[in-house]
Amino acid sequence: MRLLSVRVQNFKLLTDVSVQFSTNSAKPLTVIRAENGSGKTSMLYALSWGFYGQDGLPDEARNSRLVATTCAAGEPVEISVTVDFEHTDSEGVRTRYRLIRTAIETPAEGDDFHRVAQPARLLRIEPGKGEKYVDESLINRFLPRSLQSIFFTDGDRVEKFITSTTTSRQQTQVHGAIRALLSLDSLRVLSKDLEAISSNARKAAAKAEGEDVSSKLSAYERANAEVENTKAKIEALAEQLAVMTQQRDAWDEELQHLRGLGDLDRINSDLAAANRQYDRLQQQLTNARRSLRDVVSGAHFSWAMGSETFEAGLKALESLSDQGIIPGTSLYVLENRIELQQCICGETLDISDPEGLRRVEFMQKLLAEQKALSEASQRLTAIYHTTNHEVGRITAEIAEGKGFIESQHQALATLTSVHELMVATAARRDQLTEDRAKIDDERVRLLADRLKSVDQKIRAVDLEMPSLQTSLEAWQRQAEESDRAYRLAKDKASKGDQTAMRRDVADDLHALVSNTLGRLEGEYVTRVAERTSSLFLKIVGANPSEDGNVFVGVRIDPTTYDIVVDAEGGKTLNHAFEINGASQRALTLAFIWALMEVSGTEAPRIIDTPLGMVAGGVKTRLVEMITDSASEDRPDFQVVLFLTRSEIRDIEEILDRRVGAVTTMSCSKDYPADLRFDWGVVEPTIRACPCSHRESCRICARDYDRENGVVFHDRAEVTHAAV
Amino acid sequence: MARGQAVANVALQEALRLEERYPGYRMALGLALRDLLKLQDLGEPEAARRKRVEERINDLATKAMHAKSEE
Repeated sequence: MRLLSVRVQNFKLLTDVSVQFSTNSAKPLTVIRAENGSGKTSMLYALSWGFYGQDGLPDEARNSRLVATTCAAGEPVEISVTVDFEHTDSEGVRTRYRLIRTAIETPAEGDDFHRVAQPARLLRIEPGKGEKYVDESLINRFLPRSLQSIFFTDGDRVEKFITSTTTSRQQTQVHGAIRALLSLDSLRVLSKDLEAISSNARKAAAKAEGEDVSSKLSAYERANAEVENTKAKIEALAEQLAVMTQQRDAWDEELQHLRGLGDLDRINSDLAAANRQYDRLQQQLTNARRSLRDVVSGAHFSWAMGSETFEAGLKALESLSDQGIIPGTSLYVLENRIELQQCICGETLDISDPEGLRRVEFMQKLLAEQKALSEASQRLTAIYHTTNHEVGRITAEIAEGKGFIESQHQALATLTSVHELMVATAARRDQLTEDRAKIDDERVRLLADRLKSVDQKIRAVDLEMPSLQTSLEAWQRQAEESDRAYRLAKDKASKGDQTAMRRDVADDLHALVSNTLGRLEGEYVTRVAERTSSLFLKIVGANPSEDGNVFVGVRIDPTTYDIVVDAEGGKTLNHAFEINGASQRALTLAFIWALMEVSGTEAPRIIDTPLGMVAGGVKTRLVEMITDSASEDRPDFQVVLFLTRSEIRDIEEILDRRVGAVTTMSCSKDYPADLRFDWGVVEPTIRACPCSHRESCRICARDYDRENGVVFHDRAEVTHAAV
Repeated sequence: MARGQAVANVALQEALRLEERYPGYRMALGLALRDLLKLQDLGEPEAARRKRVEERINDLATKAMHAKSEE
């Protein structure tokens, strides 16, 4: 099947956009160049909607509107996708078809809408005979929906196609592709049909051929039934094992995650310690605040604030002292001397002596005068002495580095440090509380119990499987022997009539289907693996015969069809964790290309943004591989790549050689930010032009084109449809 | 087309290993296999599909009987 053209109308911003596809075998590549938000994904969805209707859309888009958000509420819009394609049948006859899918969508207020889909119409177009409607279910024969992920995909899906083969979805994709493209499932169904028909035909013939043939046929059928029965048991057991293993892995992962957070006892103990530390720090904070308060209310603070005033006061006191006003101790001395009747100078103070009396009278006069001043003097004296003592202490302490500034710094540093410790402890306490909330101890116990139980069941299945295999081999031997005996008996007794011939033809056809199935399952799956390996190693630039290669080869497990990537030293690589994104894309594309090639399938491969995350040699080799023209070993095929300008960078020369058709799509919303020309439209819309990766025009020219060597053509505004 | 040439090629090669009951019989078997696979693509239900298989077997058997009687 080859796409010829598509016309999309009113699908998202694709108001009316047409694209022509390359049908040139030598240049199988069609490029749709478009920047982000310029309709690449819409075009991909429009194509898959055209072929498969609602089912063709990704889950997230199925219940969304298909028209642009700018369409007015209450006004019905006809969405239409028309695809012209041609199909070559097994006799080599090429027929042209036109597929038309339409729907009427009426936007409502908000995000609501009402959509009425019309059945798709498929027309066969025969030259000279005109157009004729044919059964639209033929589409599924030309391009089976089960293989949509191979025919219509994007870079991200390509990357995840093979990765995580432990999940059933990816397994289904890889296995489904192998089974569908090599017709394995269809052959199995046909084999089943033939088995039933052949059995009836054998019975009918045996009836006429006698008791011996009938009994030998019965013996064969019994043995064969046991073979099928045992096979079914093995398959069921294998499936059960796969489900249990998958479940065990999921539970184990969850348990590891929970245990990674820490066990509950440890978290509780850590939390208690953190709470205790927080309480201690709270006490330290109170002490630190008290220390700071003491610092700002102590003598040093006063000295720092008023040392000049203190010094002036002290000087005044010293002056008073010098004047003898303070300390005022003469009162006591005079009284003492009068009492002793002898002056300090040695003269007598005896009042019986007139001279002594005169001196005493003088001294008593002095005493009277000084007593009047004594109260204030005592106070000043006390202040003088205290101040003198304190100033001495303070200045000594300042000299020792215990002044206000130093004390204040120390108190503030302690306060800050305690505060910071408290914040950190509080954060740790919160984290531990949060971790504790996440741990559901019950869940941990439940998971541990479940793991134990499922491991026991897995072990039981592992033990049962070998005995079933042995049993199967025994029944197969018995079936072969009884079949041989039956054949000898029926050849001997054959009547050679229509009934016998019918049986022989049914047997022939059944044998043909079985043998074909066997070869495809074995030889052809191996061929797909070998080709995948060779293409993959070529893209990633690995040479298995040299040392130091990460990749050694790719295999397909013959039983499970899992894709296995081999590394050096007999190791295998985990797709999800040990293979980078670019190599994952290379592996998927190598597999799809190999499968299409080996199965001889002619079908388009449409990939949106395939080269994100891919650069350098891998990028060029990947593009070389997926755009290589058909050859004798390689059936005709089409590749449609939706590329941004940055993806095109570095592969321009490959595109020069391989592109058979090109369309550039642009969106009016990019003016004036990126687009150079205003289209003069109000509502955002997407237009197509025929510019190649080296050209631009008034529709698609962007500000940064010139620096990338893109040549501007000032041609009249054209659309691809017009071209 | 989605179904590759591989199955048709293998079927025709495998048919050559069978007894040629009349000239062109093995080729007819290979073509029958290919056509019967197409029935599945068209989504024929099981009963209808088996009926078509039986019809094809009857045709081949009749042709084989006819060829035998002419010998």
